[in-house]
Amino acid sequence: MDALLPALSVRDLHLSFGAQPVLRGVSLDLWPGEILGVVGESGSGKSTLLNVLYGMLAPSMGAVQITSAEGKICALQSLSRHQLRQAQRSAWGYVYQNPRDALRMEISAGGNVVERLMAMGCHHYGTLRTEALRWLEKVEIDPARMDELPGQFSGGMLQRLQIARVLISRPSLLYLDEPTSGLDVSVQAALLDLLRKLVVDAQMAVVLVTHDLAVARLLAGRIAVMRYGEIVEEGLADQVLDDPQHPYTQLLVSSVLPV
Amino acid sequence: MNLLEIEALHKTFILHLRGGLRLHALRNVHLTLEEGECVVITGASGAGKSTLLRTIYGNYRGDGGAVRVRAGSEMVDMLNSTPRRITALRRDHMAYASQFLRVIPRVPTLDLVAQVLLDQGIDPSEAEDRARSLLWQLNLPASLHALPPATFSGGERQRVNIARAFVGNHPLILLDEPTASLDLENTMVVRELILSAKAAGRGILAIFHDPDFVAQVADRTYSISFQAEICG
Repeated sequence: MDALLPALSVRDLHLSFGAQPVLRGVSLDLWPGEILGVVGESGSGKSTLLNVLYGMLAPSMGAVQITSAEGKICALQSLSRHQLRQAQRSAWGYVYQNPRDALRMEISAGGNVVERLMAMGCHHYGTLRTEALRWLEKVEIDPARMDELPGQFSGGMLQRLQIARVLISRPSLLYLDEPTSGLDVSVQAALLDLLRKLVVDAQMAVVLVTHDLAVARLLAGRIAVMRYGEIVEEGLADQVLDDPQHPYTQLLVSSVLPV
Repeated sequence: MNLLEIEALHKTFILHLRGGLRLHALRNVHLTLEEGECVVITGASGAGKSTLLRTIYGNYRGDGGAVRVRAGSEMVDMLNSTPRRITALRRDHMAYASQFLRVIPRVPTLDLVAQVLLDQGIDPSEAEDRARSLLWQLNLPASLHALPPATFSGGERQRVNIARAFVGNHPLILLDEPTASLDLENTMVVRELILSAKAAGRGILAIFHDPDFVAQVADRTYSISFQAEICG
């Protein structure tokens, strides 16, 4: 349960878009089974950070070290393009805020779910179909709809489909970019619980980017607060929210409208 | 054997949105708690009783002194512990029940209580059995176990909170007015839970307002007289 090495170790990341710094000295550690919530307002660099960690953007400075589920340590920067593609398709997962950015709308729901398995070399029709059914059930989508195109699904179902599509490869590192913010409140709660269960069961290490402090409190064990590309405060989720130390965190927490 | 040692604990809130106003909430708190002991914190409203419990649990960050919590053969100082260490302490060694229940919506009550045990690595069927029997003991019938607590009354929610604090057999239990919205019958159930936890060598630090109840469960009281003061 208590791994010795963090699954993800980030040191002093910097990135600028032109003259505009978007990441300024970001460091963090993340262990298997842990969910780190990254909060902050739009433009604070949260999604950029996820893109760097997933290998889609190269930082101008800093190091990202990843320990695989088998205990192999590697530096993100040292991966070849091919290795990076492989990791992005199996060992790591990225859930987009808008499921339409990730799903292939022209192939069936079942086809979407098993794409990673096929990329990893599984081509046995029976196995793929069984796995598709199993994962649709896990994310509470009626398996009878397996052969439909995603275009006929509601927003909440699309997001659950995207989650099944990513989690089917049992990634050890999972990046969630505002996974519930496009959804109705009624769907949000069920999705949060589903995510929590899947993540805990598989002992994934998760970075959850959200601007919703309530989501961060319920899902994350730790919270990092970002502003202008910098982590200004980091700690236990309930402590950061109930006893914020940094002026910006105090402003953020006190600005939430009561329900 | 001490379960908890607090030495010269200080807690100051700095309100940056109020021009850096400093609010001294705890000053020089000394307290120890032994196995099998129940200590009740007393003091006027605003004296810092809840703040003390929250600082022990790591919900608030203490600024000076030490809060040492027993973890097996060692004492771990909460003020110098990483979030990861505190999470492990909360999982295995220290439980806390506040007056508020904060949980993911739509999760059934039984799962909320059993999760405490699953986190400790206990297998699911035993976790469910233990959660179920404790909920029964707290007069929450089987018909409520499958429901999320969102629709429950204040007293029912409070009992879910109490179940979550007692189910994991944590050696140290912190209770912030757990009987505030309970009727007499359920208050007596909480009394039984406290007495049997004490008999099992667990330690309890609590806030209760009813003096009769305090007389029935407390081995001694600890009074906080210090009033929070504002310094510019």
